[in-house]
Amino acid sequence: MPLSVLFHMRKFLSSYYMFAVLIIVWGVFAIISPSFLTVSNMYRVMLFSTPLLIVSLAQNIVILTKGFDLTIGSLVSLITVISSLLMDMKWPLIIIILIVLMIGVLVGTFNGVCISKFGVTPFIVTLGTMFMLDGISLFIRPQPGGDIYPDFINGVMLYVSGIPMGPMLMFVIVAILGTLFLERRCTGRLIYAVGCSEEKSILRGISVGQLLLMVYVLSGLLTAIGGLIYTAYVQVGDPNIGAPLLFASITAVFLGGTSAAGGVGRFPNTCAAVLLLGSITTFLFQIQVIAWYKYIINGVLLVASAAFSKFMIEAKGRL
Amino acid sequence: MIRKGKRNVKSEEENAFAKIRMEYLVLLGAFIMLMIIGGFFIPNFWTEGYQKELFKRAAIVGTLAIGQTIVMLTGGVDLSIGSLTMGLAVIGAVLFRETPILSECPWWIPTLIIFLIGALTGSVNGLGIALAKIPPIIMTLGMMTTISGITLVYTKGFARGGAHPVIIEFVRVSEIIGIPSVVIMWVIVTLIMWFVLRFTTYGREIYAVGSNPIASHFAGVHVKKIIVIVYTLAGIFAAASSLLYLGRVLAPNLSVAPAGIGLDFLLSSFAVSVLGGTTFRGGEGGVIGTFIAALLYGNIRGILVALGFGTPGILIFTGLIILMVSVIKQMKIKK
Amino acid sequence: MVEVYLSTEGIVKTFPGVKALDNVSIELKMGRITALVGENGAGKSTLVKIISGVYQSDKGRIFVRGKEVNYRNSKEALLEHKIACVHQENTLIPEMTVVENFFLEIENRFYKWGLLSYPAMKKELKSFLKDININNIDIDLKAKYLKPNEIKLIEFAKSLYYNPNLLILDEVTAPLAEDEVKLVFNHMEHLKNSGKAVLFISHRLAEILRISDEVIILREGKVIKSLTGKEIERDQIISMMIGVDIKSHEYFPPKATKVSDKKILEIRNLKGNGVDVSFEVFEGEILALAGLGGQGMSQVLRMIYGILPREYGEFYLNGKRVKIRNPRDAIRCGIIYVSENRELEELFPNLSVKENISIPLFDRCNKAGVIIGSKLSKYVKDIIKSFSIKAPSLDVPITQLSGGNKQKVIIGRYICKEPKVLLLANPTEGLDIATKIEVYKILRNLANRGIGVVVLLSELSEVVNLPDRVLIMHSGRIIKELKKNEITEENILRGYFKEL
Repeated sequence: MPLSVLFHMRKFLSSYYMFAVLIIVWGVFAIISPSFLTVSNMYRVMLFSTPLLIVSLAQNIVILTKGFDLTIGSLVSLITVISSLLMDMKWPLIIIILIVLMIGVLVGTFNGVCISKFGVTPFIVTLGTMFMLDGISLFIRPQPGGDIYPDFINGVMLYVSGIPMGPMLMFVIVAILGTLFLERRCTGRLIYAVGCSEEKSILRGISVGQLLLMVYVLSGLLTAIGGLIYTAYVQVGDPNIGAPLLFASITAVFLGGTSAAGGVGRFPNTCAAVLLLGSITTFLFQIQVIAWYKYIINGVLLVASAAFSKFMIEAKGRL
Repeated sequence: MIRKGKRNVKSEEENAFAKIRMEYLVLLGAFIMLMIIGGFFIPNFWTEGYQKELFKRAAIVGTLAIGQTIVMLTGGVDLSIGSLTMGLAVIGAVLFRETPILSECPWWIPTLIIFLIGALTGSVNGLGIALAKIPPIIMTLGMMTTISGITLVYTKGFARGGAHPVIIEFVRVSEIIGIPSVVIMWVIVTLIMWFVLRFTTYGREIYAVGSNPIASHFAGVHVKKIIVIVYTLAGIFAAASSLLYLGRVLAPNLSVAPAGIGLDFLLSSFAVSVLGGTTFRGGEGGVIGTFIAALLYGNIRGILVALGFGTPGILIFTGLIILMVSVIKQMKIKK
Repeated sequence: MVEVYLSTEGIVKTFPGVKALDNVSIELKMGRITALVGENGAGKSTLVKIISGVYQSDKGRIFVRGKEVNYRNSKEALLEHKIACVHQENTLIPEMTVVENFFLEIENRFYKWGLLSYPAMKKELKSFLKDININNIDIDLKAKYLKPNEIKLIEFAKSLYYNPNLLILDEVTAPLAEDEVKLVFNHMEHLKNSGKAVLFISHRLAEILRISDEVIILREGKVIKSLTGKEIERDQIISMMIGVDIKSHEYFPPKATKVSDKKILEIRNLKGNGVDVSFEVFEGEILALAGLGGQGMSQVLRMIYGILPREYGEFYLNGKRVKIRNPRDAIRCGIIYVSENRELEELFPNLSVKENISIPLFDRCNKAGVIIGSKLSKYVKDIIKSFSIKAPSLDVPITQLSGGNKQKVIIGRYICKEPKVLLLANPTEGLDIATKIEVYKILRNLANRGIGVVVLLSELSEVVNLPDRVLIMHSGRIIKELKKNEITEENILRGYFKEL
């Protein structure tokens, strides 16, 4: 085979190998429960996956820069709480959306400034911010509640003859835009460069501080969007609702092969990982197993995939 | 010598103490300040009862934090110790009260089992990180999720059993010369770990591995062994914490934090380690700082509760303090 | 009157505790190759980083073509003032391919419908590399898989791509082979003849003498003198650099008059990573493994020490077969390795000088695991004394020491382990002349004590003057052994280029 074809094959595989895993898993699920591979079930998987994908994009970008965003879960909770609060107060939807996005940007800026200007480790900064956001959420709404605008819910879900098309569309759009941004825009490439080696980036005149700030602002913004969508899903404001998303997003990013050392990892694989997590949950629900088993599966899967990817890296050689 | 200019090697003792004293003095100063503020705001602050409770709570948080601190010294993290603590508490409760044979046994048999399970789990973490080269974040995150899952599936969200009377008595009641036994135990353990970290080869090698694992390897340090030891220790400390927790609350409370059980244990172990000066970079920090920070942490909570802040307020303040302390530390470094 | 492209006036730069540059004023003229020489710590790299825009000076001004300028980062310096710099440190992002690395700062020139076009980038790079005669580098490889000389060549190519008016080369030739150095020099001459300015930094005096029109000497952050034309002469330069008169023949300690024929270490059929060698190390000798860049010498040492996986290898210590799977095994056999990557592989960055020295010494100073502080302190003090390590105090972070002193710490601390064989990879790389001379003496003393010293050396003068025996390697094989009088520059070079 001519070298260039091999080269392109390798490149393709490294971006999309997770989809192969996904298909295999789907196959296994289908064998165990033939009704898994139905269209309506696939919709369910997508439905579950969409908010997770949005916050996983945020987390992916941050982890690529060797950082962490622990505020993702708490920010989502805060968004649901604030949205429900403002909706209870009957504010116009447009204003609510704008405020929510602003909050996301604010939180992101706060994180970003502490990290880039003051140089504090991302883990610690986002840990502290996470505490604060949790506290604020609990303060505003100690118990879940609130009336979410039905128009808003319908607008997000975009029901077409009873089937929620909205989340599916959003999934595809986010997947495509995320991939294009990270792989085919200058800023995306700079994110990889800085994540791989800050020192070298500084030597080359790349303004690392600015980039890091932008990364966290972007993360906040994306999380806020994810939070809005999630509000339409859960239809309440709940100060605890976002926490699972935090760990799920970290799991998805690592499962998708992004390295904790920064600078390595491709977003399509993260998308597949998100679908995988969604499939597991849906599958367990379908065969009527207690939801908590998914924790065990997710945990084992995460560790196994990390071990496997290390193995693959040693064996892969070039590219 | 060809080079011009001389420099004298100063007495090393002077400089070493100067550096250590600075950081700990700051922490101690903060602690004293908080005591004063506490006395101001909290009605029965200076009573024996309150002080004992304060120190007891600090002991429980502090014990777990020691495990996290040691892991952080090697440049790693252990995200699983929170859920491990809770999970072991659940198992312990069952072993102590609900299991037919074991409930009849003397208290130290189930206790030993708990420690063994904790050590084993920790060593699995260590082996995954050392042998399979899985990054600590991923390994311990996976472990945390798995433990949470197993515990939840097993208990179906509803924890049974309770602690053994001996343990309850130890944690809640027993004292030696007026100081709660838990606190004395905590102090002893801290001192032992301090000694190990400072004066034994294993301890210094822990710092070396945290500072530069490759250089440690080249210099002949058995890096894999150190890593397995460190995470196993974390598991043991989680076991100790779980027993203290059981003794204190009598029965585990699985208020299911949706992400994973034992989240508050985990977060406090980080908060206390970080406040105490241990960093994620590895090779920096120590258990003395963690000790003082645990006291600080307990004090802050106490003051906030007395001031009328509920959980929200405590969370906000804790986050704020972590941020402020970290930023101030960074600004000092920049100078 | 030759036009000046860039000049500096009164540059001052201070780092915590150290005044790196003290009132430095230099002129870089167009159509000239200006060399900057000085010991490590003299301030060369600092000056380079200020001129190229990576650092900002505390005081002083920079002028380009007579007009004062003020650029805030190296990208500005590059794009607005055409100042291109190849730094001493490798700046290629390891996880990105050569293509991505090459165009990282100017990717926005390759947008097609808003998205980056990799085919366009590849095409551009391929044709450019062809034009400047740098071939045989796979541009689709991630940078981390490149060899050190390939990395340097790409960085060099990158700087040429921007068509600079001022090209700065900081220790570019260190990883390069002879033919590659020639290529670089050709391009430098070409630039010079086109009226551009070139600033060249190298520790290799032979190169400086060969190519420079002007030599600026820095010492302790100050400009000592600027030599032109006939003034450029070896001993002059060196004595100005270190401030004392030193004649060539004093650089290297005398070789061993008679080397023992007792074999300490025998290596048979060491295979792996493109290498296949067998050789012996005798007691009391300095043995050099020499060759052009990338011929496998570094791999040999690392495979012996167990830090690079090997396919096969038999090791005999004093005639008895031993198993070496990792550094611990090696150290137990008395074999110790010192890597050339000091910062990455030998030093403990946030630990003190004392701790850096102590770590290998623990097994000598403990009783049941507890460290005996007094014994350790004594060892540490002995090492500091016998290696003349200069440090403000034992408890300062190791990062505060100069490169030379760091190297002395690294070598010194292992001596207490009483090694039988020392494997040193490029022990004098990046060190100033004064420290190099100290290290040569140290190595000769160790050999005289009976230790088998195996060194990888890069500078030709070192290969000629230091070792008692030289094994020349090419393509992973030992192709020639030179002993005593056979060790001449001519024989060595012939070996390098396989003219046997």
